[in-house]
Amino acid sequence: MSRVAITEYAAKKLVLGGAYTGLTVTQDTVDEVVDKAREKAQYIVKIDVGIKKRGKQGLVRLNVPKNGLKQAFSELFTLGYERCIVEEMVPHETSSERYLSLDLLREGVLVLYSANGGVEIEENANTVERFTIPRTEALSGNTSVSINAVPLNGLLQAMQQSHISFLEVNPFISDGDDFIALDMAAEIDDAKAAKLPSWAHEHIIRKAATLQEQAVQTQDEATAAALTLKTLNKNGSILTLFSGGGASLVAMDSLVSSRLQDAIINYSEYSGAPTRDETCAYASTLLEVLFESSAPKKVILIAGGVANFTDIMTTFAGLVDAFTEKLNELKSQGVYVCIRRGGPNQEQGLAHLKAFLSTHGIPHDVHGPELSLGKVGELIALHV
Amino acid sequence: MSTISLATLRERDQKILVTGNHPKIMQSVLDFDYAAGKASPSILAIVSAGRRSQKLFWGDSEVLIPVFASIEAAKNAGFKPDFLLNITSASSACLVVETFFTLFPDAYGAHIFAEGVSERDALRLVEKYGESKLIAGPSGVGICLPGSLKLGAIGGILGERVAQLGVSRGTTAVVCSSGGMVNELMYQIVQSGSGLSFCVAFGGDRFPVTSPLSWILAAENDPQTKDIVFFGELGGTDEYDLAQAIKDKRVTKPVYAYIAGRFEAKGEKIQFGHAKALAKAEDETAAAKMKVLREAGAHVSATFSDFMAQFTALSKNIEAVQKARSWTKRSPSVKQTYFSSPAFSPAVAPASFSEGIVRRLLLKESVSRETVAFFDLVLTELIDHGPHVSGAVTAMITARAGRDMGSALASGVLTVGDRFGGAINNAANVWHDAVSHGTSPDELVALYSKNRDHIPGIGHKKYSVYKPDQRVSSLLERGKQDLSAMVHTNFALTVAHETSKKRSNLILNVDGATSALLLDYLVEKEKFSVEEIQTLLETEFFNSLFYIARSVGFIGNFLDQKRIDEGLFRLSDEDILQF
Repeated sequence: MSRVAITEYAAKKLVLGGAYTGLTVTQDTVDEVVDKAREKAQYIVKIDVGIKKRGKQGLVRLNVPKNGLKQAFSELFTLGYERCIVEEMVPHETSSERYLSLDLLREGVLVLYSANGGVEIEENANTVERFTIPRTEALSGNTSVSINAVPLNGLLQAMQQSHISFLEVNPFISDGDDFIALDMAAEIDDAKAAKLPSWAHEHIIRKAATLQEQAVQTQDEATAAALTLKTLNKNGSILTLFSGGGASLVAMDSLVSSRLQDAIINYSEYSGAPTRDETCAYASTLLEVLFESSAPKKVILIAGGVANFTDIMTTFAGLVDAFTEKLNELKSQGVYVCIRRGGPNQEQGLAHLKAFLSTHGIPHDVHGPELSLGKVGELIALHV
Repeated sequence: MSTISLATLRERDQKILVTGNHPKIMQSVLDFDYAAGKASPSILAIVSAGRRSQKLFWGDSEVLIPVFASIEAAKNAGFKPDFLLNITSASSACLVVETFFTLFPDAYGAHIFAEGVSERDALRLVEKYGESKLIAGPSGVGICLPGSLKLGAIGGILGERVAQLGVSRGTTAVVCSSGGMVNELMYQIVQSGSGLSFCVAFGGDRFPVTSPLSWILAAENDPQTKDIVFFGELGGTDEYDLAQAIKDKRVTKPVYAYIAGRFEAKGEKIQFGHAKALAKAEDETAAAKMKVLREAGAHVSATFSDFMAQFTALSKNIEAVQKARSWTKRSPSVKQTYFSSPAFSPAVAPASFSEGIVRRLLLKESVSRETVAFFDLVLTELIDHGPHVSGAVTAMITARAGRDMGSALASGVLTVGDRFGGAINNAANVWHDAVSHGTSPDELVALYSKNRDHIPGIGHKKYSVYKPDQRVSSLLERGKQDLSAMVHTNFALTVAHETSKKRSNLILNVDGATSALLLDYLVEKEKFSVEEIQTLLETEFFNSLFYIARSVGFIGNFLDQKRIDEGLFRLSDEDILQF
C-alpha cells in the first residue's frame, strides 16, 4: 500500500471540518452550486483533480461574481477536467501568505514552515524552517511544538482521524487567531482509504490514465494479490510482466543499464500468488497495450526472482491462457517472448510455457534462475 | 537498537507461535528444523479458527501441531514462544503483535507477513517495539538464522532449498527490503561459494518495525558474520543512517550494497511495487542513496550484475556449501494420509469390557477402579428401556421389514438425539458451564424460565417426584459412596429441586444424573482439568455411553423380531388420527 492524493476539496473538508464552506463541483452540479452563491461575494474557481501549479497553467479563475460563475465553470470543464472547487475569495496581501507542510516519517512528523509562502515557495526555499515533531507526540496528536497562529494539534489530530500521511497548506494566512487555508494538498494512506467517509471516495485521485490502467486497477481491487500497470511509453517496444516489488526494480535497472529505458512500454508488477484466472485476465490486458504500440519490433519480458511461495506453474498457466486468447495478434505482430523466473514448480511452469511457444511458432528465450536477473536487459537487447 | 544478540538466539532452539494458517510456510519451517537436526519442531502451536490441530510432516513422519482459538488460550495451555510468526491479514496484524508481546513480554521478536498494514499501525509498533524487539515487516518474508531459526517463508518453501539452510552455517549476512529478492540473493550467495549467517527481509513498507540500520547492526555485532550484503530500493532515507553508521565506525564489517530503482520517467514520479518505492525528493532516488553509501565506504555496485560479481569476494564457506548440497529429498514413498490417530496400544490389557471402554474413550493408560465401576453401572442401566421407546420401535420396524442387523441397529441409532438419549452431553455442558462460571442454581433456573426453554437433563414424560426413576436413584446412591464433593451432582439436584416445585415431573432425569455424576468422577477420581473437560464436551464424549449401551438394546430388539418374525409392520387405522 502506498500514499494517494485526494482533491483540494476533500483535503479541506476532512481537515477543517464544518468550518469549511467551499463546494465541489462537477458538470452535473453547476446549477445547484450557482444557486447557492451569494450576490455580493467574489469567488475563486479552480480545477480540482490533483494537478499542481494550476495558476501557471490557466486552470484558475479569480474574482468571479455570482453571475460569472456559470461561464467560469464552463470554460474550465471544456478543458476536459472532471471536477472543480469553488470558494469565496479571501482578500489579502500576497506578502502575508505562509507555507506549511506536515509529513509523517518514522521519527515523527516533519514540519516545513515558511513565512514566505505562496506560488513562489520554491524560489524562497532558503526561508523554509525544518523541524520534527517527535513520534510520540505525532501519534497522540498532542505536541508542545507551536507555530504562530497555526493550530498544529488540530491539524495532527485531523491527519490521524482521516488517515492523512502528508499535508501541505500553501498558502495560508492568519486573521487574528484564525487559520485560513487558501490552498491545501493531502495524501492519504491507501491502506485506510476504505475507512474514509463515503463522499470522499470519489475524491481519491487514482492516476489511471488509460483504459488498460483502469482495467488493471479494477482487477487489483478484486483480488488479494497485487496487480499494477503503469504506462510509460505507449509506442515503446518492450512490454514488461514483472513479479515481485524488488525484482521488478532490478529488472527495470537492467533495462536501463542496456540503454533500453526509452523502449519500455510499461512498468508492471504482479505478486502475492494470483490465481490462474487472475493472471490470465491481467496478462491479457497487458497484451492489449502491446498490440496498440506502433513500434516495429515487439518483445515481452516476463521476469522475476526466485519466488518464495508463488507457484510458477499456476501463474504461468494463466499466462499461457492469455497467450492462447491473443494468439493471432501475437503471431501477426511477430512478438518475441523472453523469460527469466524461478520458484516453486519452476521446472513445470517454464516447460509448460516453452512448449506452448514452440508449438505455435512464437520465437522465445526461456531461462530459470541460472540466468542472473541483472542480465535480462542484455537478453532483450538482442531482440529489440 | 535492540539488545538481542543473534549469538544468543543460536545458543538454544527458538520456539515459534504462529497466528493465521499457511500450511506451506509452516511446513517449510518444519523441514528446516528437521534438517537442522532439532529434536522437535520449532512451531509450538498455531492460533487459528475452526480446528484443533494442523497436520504437518516431521521428516518422513507426521506431527500434529495444536491449534488454539486465541493467543491467550495458547498461553494458558502452557506454551512459551520466543517468536511470533504472524500470517494474519493486514487489518488485524498490528493488534495480534501487541497482544503477543503483552502476553509474552520476554519473547524476542516477530515477523509480520501482511502487506497493506497502515502507516500509523506500523508506527505504533515502531514506537512500542522498534528498539526492544526484532520484528521483520510489515511485508517481506521474515528472518532466517541458517542452522537455527526459520521464521517465515524466507529461503522459500521447497524442501531441498530449505533443508540446505537448515544444515549450513556460513558467514554472510543478507539484509534486504524485498521478500522476493532476499531469496534470490541467498540463492546466488550460496552459488558463489559463500554461506549464510543471517538473513532478513525487513519489508518494502514505509515503516519497517525494526529499521534497516538495526538489522545491519545486529549483523555487525554477530561474531559469526564476516560480510554484510545489503539490498535497498529507491524511496525513503534509511540508507543515510546506514552511511552515517559506516562513517562513525559503528559498522566496520564490509557492506556490499545495491539500491534498486534507477529507472526515472520523464517529468513524473512513479510509484513502484513496494509502498516505499517512490522517490519524492532528490535525496530519495537510488542514485543519491548509492552515492552516499559509496562515499561512506560501502562496496556499492552500479549494476545488479556487478553486485552479483562482488559475491565472489565474500568469505568462502566451502564446508557449509558442500554440506548443503548433500541433502536428499523426502522419500517419495511417503504418502499423505488423511486421518490422524493418537497412538493407543495399552501396555496392560484392560480387565473388563467397561475398563476397556473407559480407557479407550478417555485415551488414558490407567483409570480408577471407581470410575470403571460407575461406567459399568451406567452402561448396564442404559442397555434397554423397554420396547416402547423411539429407538426400539424404529429398530423393530426395520427388522420386520426384512432388513439385516446393521440396518436395524442404524435405524435405532439414527433416532437418538436431543429428545431421545442424546441429551447427556448437552446436560453435561449446562452443569459444567454453570459450575465453572459460578452461576447459582437459582440464576440458571431463572435464565431458562425467562427464555421459556427446557433445561437439558431435567424433566421426564413418565417419572415425577411421586414416581421416582429407579435408575437415577441407583446412580446417585453409587456416587455418594465413591465421591466427596459432588459439585456438579449437588448443583444439578438443587436445580431439580427448584424446577420440580413448578411441576412435579421436572425432576433430574437419567441423562441429567448421568452427566453430573460423570463430571464429578472425572474431576475427583481422574483429576481432569476444566480445559480437559471442555474438550470432552466439545467432542460430544458424554453421549458415547448411551450409544454404546443402547446399541446392545437395539441389537436385542432386532434379534427378538427375527426370532418371532411377525412379518411386515403396518400401522392400523385406529393408530392414525385423521384430521
